[in-house]
Amino acid sequence: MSPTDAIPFLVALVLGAFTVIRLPSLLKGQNVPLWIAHALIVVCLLLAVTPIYVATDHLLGGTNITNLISHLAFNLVFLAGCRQVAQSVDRPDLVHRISRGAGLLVLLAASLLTVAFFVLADTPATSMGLNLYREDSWVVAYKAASFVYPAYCSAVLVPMLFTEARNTGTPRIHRWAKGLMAVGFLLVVPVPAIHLAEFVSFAARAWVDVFLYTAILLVSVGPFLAFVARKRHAHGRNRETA
Amino acid sequence: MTVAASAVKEWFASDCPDTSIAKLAAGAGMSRMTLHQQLLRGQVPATTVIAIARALGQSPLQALARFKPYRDLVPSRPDPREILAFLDWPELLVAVGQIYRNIEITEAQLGSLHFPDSSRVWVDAIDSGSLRKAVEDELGMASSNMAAALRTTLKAPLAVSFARNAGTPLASAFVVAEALTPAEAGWGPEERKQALLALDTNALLQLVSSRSLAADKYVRRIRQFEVDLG
Repeated sequence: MSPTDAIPFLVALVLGAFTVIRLPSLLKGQNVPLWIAHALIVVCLLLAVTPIYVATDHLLGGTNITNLISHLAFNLVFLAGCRQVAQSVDRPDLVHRISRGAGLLVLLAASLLTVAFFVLADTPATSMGLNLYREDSWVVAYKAASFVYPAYCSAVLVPMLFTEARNTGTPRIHRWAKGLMAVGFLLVVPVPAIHLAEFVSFAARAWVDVFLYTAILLVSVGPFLAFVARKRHAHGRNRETA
Repeated sequence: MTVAASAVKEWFASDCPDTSIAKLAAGAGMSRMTLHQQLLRGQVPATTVIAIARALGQSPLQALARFKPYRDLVPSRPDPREILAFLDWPELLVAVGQIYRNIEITEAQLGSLHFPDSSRVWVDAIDSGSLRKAVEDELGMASSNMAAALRTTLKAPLAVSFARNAGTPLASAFVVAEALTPAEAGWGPEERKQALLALDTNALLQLVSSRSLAADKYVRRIRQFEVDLG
């Protein structure tokens, strides 16, 4: 397996583990959108592994529609995940900015542009990450558009998360969780611009993977730490009542 | 609320004519560039005036009171409505228990004046009903931004606006904003202890009750992070 396939596969394994440990909560109906976000990001990561992508795309007709589905699913991951993060810190204003009003407008506009650029791009044969067609301007525009909503949601959350991470009145594990998510989301903000930089330098594309995979890992550790804190809290309460 | 840079320059010219901006900035613990920019922009934050006054060995409160928006700033003891908001609930519970049992309390055992949620507790203490709305209207703030601001240490302009609207001492607002120490604001050394001892048992229990409710809300909000993401 090449490093470009191994990295998303390993990240998918970590996220897959986070998804599995949340299954009991899902069965109890707790935090369903967060579980869906975890499951979808695992799917997106697995579709970034060449053999899986090629096999899936062949099943879907071999026209790279898999890539489009993966990018649109990534938007849904951000919609569900970021909404939940904003809700967890009792910020209904941020929930609104992510999933209603301007947020919904950005999501719809970016998704429509993504689909439009994909249709305009000429990508007739299966190609992992559309790498065969990266010199096509529509492909670069498609890639940039597909990350506009994640970048928007991240920009909405970053200042709040950094402020919350500095709040010494909250448990240390919460502060670590918020701090790691803040750094992770911060890395997502420039991704559309990095894609656009491909117009200037072809080498820019390599940075997208560095930023994105680091961001996914950092952001996913946040909810995992919240999960650990919740279990510790429940365990402490059980011990007190035993 | 800022101070006009021209007035600050006049202050420098009269009180420290031979001191360079770089030296003043270093003494105030800020970068030379920051101070330069504030002077160039024409607006100097109150916190900068306070830091420079300390560096010059002057009373920060009196230095600030030289300037137009703060001419009404005078050393003042805290208002009875607000003083016990400078005390976190665990220390309050212990102290009330000791008072009830006739055990002596000390100012030191009452802990820090600033604690998580202290901004909200202070505003709750001085709010007679429509204070938040009045401040939001005055500053043109959305209520969501106000809620966010109350979760951290209040910025001096916001604290000043709350104090002016509530009719509490301006000096205390700077204590809330952690810009002035209680001594610099004109407080006595045992304000909280004296305020607690001045209350009868019923008033102490009412205070405990209201602060327990506020603490419960705060703890629930903190735990919400685990509930929604855990």
